[in-house]
Amino acid sequence: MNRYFSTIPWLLQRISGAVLVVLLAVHFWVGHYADWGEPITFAGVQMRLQSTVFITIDLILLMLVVFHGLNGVRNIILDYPAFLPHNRPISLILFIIGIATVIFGIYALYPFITGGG
Amino acid sequence: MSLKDSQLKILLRTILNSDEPGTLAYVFHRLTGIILAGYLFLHIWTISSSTISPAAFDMKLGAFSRPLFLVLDVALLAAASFHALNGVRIIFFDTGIGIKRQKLGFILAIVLTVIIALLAAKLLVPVIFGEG
Ligand code: HEM
Ligand code: HEM
Repeated sequence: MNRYFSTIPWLLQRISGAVLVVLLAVHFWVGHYADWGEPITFAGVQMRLQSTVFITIDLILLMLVVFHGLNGVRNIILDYPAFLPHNRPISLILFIIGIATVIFGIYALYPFITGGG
Repeated sequence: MSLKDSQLKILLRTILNSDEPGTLAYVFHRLTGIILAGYLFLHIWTISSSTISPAAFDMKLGAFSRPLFLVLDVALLAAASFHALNGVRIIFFDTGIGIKRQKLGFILAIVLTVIIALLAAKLLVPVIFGEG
């Protein structure tokens, strides 16, 4: 069992969860609960992302939530004994999905930072 | 209505009477975790319309400001709130804090989630029925 479930992912799942409480609360709030009904616009997001603080928050949020979500999915998959022997390919696939998602997420934020177009 | 009431009662009784509310908490936690992970991918895909053009982004996000999606936003907030609160509860127990208060923790997570969702819904009502 220990070969599949080392303590490190377990610990990182808890640390990322604890940090996400704060980041997600901020994200939900500025995301739009601060001014309900105002549509989210490119210009609005661009203005916010002029600030290095918000860029940093977004990037940390992106990386933590992708790790936490996919590591959670891994835990769920490996809960089924049938998948246990395939731990390595499953973990590798999830790892690749995670890296690709983070790269795509940065690519999606890039226009806001450089000014669009 | 009476059917709904009795179902609610059964649910409440299950939570309050079981020695092990852990199973229910576990199911909810897993379910909300999967919902949030699914949302994450849709979310990044939506944001990525920024790479086409600012106008494409505004059009896509404008579509997501319709009342139906605002209601879904509250549901999303509720799922995130429960997952976060219950996650904190799990982390506390793992650190040895409040192990004897697990049921109370679960009830607290549910109650706080309902309060947060109601507050958000209260913000939402004037938006839907106000300017339309
Ligand atoms: C807001 C702060 C959050 C906290 C405090 C938190 C906490 C936790 C904790 C402690 C676990 C481990 C549960 C266990 O081992 O029994 C977990 C699992 C999980 N989380 Fe989160 N989480 C948060 C946000 C998120 C988000 C945003 C997502 C989606 C991207 C997510 C997806 C998952 C998934 C899929 C699992 C696996 C569920 C399972 O094993 O049954 N979580 N979370
Ligand atoms: C209704 C609630 C939400 C709204 C209105 C919202 C809105 C936004 C907006 C406008 C952005 C663009 C960047 C920015 O403004 O800083 C963004 C980015 C992001 N959001 Fe949300 N969000 C919501 C919920 C969530 C949730 C629940 C999660 C986690 C599962 C999440 C994770 C992210 C991530 C990771 C990014 C960065 C995306 C990227 O790098 O491409 N958001 N969100």
